[in-house]
Amino acid sequence: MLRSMMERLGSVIITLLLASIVSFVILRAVPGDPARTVVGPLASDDAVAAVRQQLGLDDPLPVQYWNYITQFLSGDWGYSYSNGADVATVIAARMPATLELAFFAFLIAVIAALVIATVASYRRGVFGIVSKLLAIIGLGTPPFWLGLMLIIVFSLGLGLLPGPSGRLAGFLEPPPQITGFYTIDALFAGDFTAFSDALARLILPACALAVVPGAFLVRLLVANQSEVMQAPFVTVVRAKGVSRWITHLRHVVHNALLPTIGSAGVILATLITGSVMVETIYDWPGIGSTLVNGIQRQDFAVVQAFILLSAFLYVLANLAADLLLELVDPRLRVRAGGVRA
Amino acid sequence: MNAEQLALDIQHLKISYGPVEVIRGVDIQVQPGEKIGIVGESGSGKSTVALGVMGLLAEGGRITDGSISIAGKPVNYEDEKRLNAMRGKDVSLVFQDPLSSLDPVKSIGNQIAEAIRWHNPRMSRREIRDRAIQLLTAVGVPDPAGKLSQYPHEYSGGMRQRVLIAIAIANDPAVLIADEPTTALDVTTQAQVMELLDSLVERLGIAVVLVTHDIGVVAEFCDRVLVMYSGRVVEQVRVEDIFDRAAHPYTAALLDSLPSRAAEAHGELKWIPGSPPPMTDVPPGCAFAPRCHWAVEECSVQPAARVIDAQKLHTAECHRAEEVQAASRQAGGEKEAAHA
Amino acid sequence: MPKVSHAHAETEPADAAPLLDVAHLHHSYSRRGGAGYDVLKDVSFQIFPGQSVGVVGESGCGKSTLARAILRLISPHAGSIRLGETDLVRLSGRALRHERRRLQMVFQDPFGSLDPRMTVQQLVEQPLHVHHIGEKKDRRSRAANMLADLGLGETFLDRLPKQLSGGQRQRVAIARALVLDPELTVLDEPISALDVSVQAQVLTLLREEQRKLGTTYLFIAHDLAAAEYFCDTILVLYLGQIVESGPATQVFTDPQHPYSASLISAAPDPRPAGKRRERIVLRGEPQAQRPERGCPFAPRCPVGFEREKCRSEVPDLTPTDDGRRVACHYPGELSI
Repeated sequence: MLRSMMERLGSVIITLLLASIVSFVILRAVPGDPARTVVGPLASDDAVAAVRQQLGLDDPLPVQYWNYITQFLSGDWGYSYSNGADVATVIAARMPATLELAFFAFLIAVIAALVIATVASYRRGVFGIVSKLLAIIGLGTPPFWLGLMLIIVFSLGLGLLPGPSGRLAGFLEPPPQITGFYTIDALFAGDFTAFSDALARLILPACALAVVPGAFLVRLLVANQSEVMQAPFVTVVRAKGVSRWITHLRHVVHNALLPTIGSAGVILATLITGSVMVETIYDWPGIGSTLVNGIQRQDFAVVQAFILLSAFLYVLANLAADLLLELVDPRLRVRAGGVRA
Repeated sequence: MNAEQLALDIQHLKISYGPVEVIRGVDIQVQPGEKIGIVGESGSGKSTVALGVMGLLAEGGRITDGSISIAGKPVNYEDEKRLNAMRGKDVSLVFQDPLSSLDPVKSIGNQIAEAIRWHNPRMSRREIRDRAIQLLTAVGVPDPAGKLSQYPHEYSGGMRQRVLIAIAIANDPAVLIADEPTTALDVTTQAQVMELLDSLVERLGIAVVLVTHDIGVVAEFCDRVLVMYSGRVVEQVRVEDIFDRAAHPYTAALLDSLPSRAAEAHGELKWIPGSPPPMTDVPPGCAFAPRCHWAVEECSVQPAARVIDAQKLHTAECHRAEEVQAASRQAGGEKEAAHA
Repeated sequence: MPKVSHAHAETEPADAAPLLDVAHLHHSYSRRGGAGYDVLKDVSFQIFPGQSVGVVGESGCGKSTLARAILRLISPHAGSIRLGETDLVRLSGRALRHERRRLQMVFQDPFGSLDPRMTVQQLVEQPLHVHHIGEKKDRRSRAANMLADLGLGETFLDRLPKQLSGGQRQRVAIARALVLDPELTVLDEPISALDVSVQAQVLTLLREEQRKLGTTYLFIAHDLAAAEYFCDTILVLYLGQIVESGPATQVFTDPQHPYSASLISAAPDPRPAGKRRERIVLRGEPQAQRPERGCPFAPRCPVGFEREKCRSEVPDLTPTDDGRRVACHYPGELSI
């Protein structure tokens, strides 16, 4: 048990190290000069050179990397070249908005996918084909396009939901921060006006963000379920007299869910990439939109921090998935007192 | 024979998958407590009959003709609700591979309880647990109370098959269908499991339909044998008569291909030339005729139904049944001579 | 080269050199955080040219590991496997690949071992190609002849595996092995997946080819009746050890070790009730643990279960008067 934990920790560290090196090198390889961004387009070349030296941009790449990574680990994530803000502070401030959006998107994706996939594999026939088709279309739909469409239909067209203007209406005070999620914090504070407004503003971006991971999950779950349905034990359960629907819910869905947990990392990745675009469309004050600004302004520190953070979350998700699987899959559970009685 | 008394009565059963008829008119009668064996090679339809009786044919399969009665009650295969009430109660199933026949993520106790609870909704948790322990004890699982919370992967192959038998006898069914129950097991475990099954059905008076490719298992376990070929029962015979009174050339040929019999007679193995016809293209008349060295002209026109003995327990679908049987007797005698 | 000397009473002609000489073979699987588990323990036997040697035992007895060790698909931890003058255990890399030509294998599942995109002709030519044997034309005719010998005529040459029946596929797999004219062919449950009437055909063809080519078979058997029919010599394995070995007719009609007796008696017997063997039902499970001391079979043994000697002393594999080897303190006490 201890050994497998150590092995995992080792692979986590190696993954993060590689991610940091690759992203560092690629960022430095793109054309453009961050020093120019700092001093502005009108400054003299001498001034640019001075800034370059001050920022350490003339040092050899390994030295730059070493300096960066040691500072990063000590909590100094650098500052934005374009506006001078401390990157760690910016990310800390904007993180809750992204987390809240991603969390709701995840919830929507999982619930919708479970319902659609279960009904599709149970009913098969036309419903099965339609749901598979939807999944394929969903996987190919760019979240920003879908985000726009949702705004046009539900906000501009039907007027059911508020438009793309952040997490809360301008005239409302954000609830006192406890979790950082406006919806939950508003409930804690007993502020139902803020709660309903925050929730209403969450729905459209969360749906836009949920489509890709949701479609991915539908496909995975349908495939897993139809595989489980072929297993002899399903026939044995039916032979006990259990109805087809109960057999499906109790045995097929349960077995199909387990391998799905392993794809938590992929789901997270779709949420991260999706959030970058969705946040921009909905003017969501999260780290996704910060990244877009950072890229446009060649803000190495911002982009680098975002990449490292994403990589960290990715390995964390995989680790959590592994641990969860061991918890819920009896075949992986290590029993006290030996493997086999 | 009174129809009400039969544990299982299959009359002129036909089953199709899509447009292809795979069971082409099968009649099987099983007395209460009787053990019959259905033997045949892959594709002969023996497993399809088993699943057809359970009403659990794979997608696309349906009963197109004939009738099935279990414990005297005709079964309506359109009425899913009545079917669910029947499955596991009047007729139950034991499957081939004991590992894949149990849900890997549910505990053994849970899976046994499922079989009990479904037909006894008013039983308390405590009663169900007691019954599960009682069943595991009956099938010889040591420390049953402790084993309830374990999962299939923690059981050995033989123990898993015992659990499946426990599930199958949970509601004292009239008929138990066992589809290759011991094929995946070692001979020593197979012997243990068959011995257990034998004593249980004897005690509980359950009729058994054993579907298998292994004539040896049938010879040791069953009272009667039905030989299937291309979706029809070509011969049914009491087990003590199969070895030297086989009246269908296919039965005789199957016996000749057994290495144990060849080893005993120090003879060469014989095999049947060719392969069974595809079910999409079964020849008219006797389906075995193209491979049969006894075949005469009329065999390719229509099969013959012959009753061999007075009690109607031995039937064979062959125009030359009497001659084949005479030859079997002679061969049996030769083997005896070679052995002595 | 020093000869490993141990008792081999099942020796066929006394002066012939063995084709395969397995001596003190040992292999164990390590278990996570636990002691190693011996799958093969001090296994010694010889196979003579043209023989068919059957290995029988329950699952987990080590028979598949033995086959894989001989083919050097795994590296045994100790002991030697001599094929002629070469010790296969010591070989690796190119030298091993070169020797592999002399050893072939037929697997249980013919579908899994055949590339679904290759035609029958290509499948049988491929091993010749891999070992650089003959010209292209020569390879074609060799493959076609081999297939014809196994009853697969010209009409089959262009077919794909999925267009064949189980028995036909297995014959293609056999052709692939035998086309290289191997000295030893390991048959790992070659008929278990086939229908009864097809099993008879495959066994007969294997035997005919043996007469023709003089190849030697090591037959890993699940079906005891097939082993009895097919093999000259039988090795009975229990928990990785040979408990009895000897000529097939003797072992099957009059087994000396209680395990052999129980195993043989447990096999379903397709004979009329009066002639059937009395069945000995063993207690316990095939995968049972090896006891810390005493005979490994003692905990399940009808003979030695309650005997002090069996519980405390490990019996040696000793030669008997009639040319067998038996590892039992009380051989022949349990008969069938």
